[in-house]
Amino acid sequence: MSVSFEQLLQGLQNTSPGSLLMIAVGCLLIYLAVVKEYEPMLLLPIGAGAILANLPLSPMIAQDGMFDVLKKAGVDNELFPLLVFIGIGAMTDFGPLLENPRMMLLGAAGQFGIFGTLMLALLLGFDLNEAASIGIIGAIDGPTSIYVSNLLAPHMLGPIAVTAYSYMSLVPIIQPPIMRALTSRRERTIRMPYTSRNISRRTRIIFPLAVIIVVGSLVPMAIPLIGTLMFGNLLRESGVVERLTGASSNEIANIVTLFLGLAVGSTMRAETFLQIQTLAILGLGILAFGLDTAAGLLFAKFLNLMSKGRFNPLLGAAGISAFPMAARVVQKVGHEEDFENFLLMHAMGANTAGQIASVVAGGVLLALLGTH
Amino acid sequence: MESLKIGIQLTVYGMGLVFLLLALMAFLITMLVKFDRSEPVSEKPSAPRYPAGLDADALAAVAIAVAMHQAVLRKEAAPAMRKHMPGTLPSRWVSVGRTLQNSTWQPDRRSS
Repeated sequence: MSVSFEQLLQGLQNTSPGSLLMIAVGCLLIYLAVVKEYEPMLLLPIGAGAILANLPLSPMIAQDGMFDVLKKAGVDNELFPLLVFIGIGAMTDFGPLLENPRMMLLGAAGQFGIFGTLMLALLLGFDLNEAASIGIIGAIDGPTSIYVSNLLAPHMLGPIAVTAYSYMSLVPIIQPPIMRALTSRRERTIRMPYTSRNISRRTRIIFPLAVIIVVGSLVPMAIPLIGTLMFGNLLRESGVVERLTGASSNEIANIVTLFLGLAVGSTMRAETFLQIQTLAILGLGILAFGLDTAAGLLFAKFLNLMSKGRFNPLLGAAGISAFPMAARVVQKVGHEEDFENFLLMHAMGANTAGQIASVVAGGVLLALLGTH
Repeated sequence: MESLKIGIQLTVYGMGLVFLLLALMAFLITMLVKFDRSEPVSEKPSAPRYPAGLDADALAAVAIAVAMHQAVLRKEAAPAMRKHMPGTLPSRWVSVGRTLQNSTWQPDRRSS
């Protein structure tokens, strides 16, 4: 048996500038996760997945390789994002929203970025499914972005997931300048009283069931997203399945997040990622975040007008799905103007509404595009 | 231009539907919270249990008698009722002890 020297060096021989660049991108994602702590739970596995998938002749992306198995097991059939949703539901307390249901409308306004970006992407020449996939970055919700884009434009899954998660961690940087630009100092200092409404356990249990039935009946395409989110919340609020709630919000969510990150990272191959459209996705993604924030603020200003100056427009910026970052940003900006103004719990209500709204918007988008 | 038209249509229908659904949910939550207000837990007094052979009036009379007796005892313990201020009289144990200290255990020499 003779072993040629070329066989030993075939890895180096198959190295391409594109794969080297993608390895650098993977390293950048790991740098952002480790040093800057930008969404490390996702960006670290995505970065590692990108490096492992772009190494020359990597067996991990070959048929029946680890990434291929993970992708078939949980990404292609949408299982992983839905399992993550169960965990999110189990971790989320919708109490602030139940105390103040009108915050639900702020969640709706915060979804304008999806449709505004969709229009811009169409104008830039993307086809309808691609434009909708780019637009869904405006949901500011990783699992929703992955779910929708994988159904509509699977070839764009990598850049869309990376854009969604990268920008999500930049919410504290992206939002405050827009918030200050669109609101006056007087508006930012509006104080809002808290209601001391007790939400019974029965209401907390009925709420997820009602949302599943109402949204599921009206928008069947949203059933997987809203169903899993609310099922997770039902586990939490029932109070009788502590172990299942714990498993959903810890073990299952952690394991699935790891698998999802690696699988998404493995889709970032040089031949699909290094294209001009990736730059367009990055640009449109940040625009989507800005549009969401601006639309939420403008709608909250409208509510302020309707309530004769008793509604703080900053809360509009919390009507997005980035939980709880957006609520914290609202509290921080409000606090800067008035040290004794506590908007946090109102903002939490709007923020949880944003979570539901983003899922509903994802389902609506799929329904409008007739995806089955 | 055609794509822009589609985009505007999608935006109008999409945002309209999202607003409609979430407004409906806000309404449902409001109704849910309104009709399912957590009522204050009313602690209903449990049915009174009387000792055998006593009815409510007899029990009340016993309770009054006990209370009056306690009041009498309290009055007797009051400073006005005391002959000596507390601490000025030694207790019986202390008195016996002092007495024993004054008498010796050794046999009296004078008698021998």
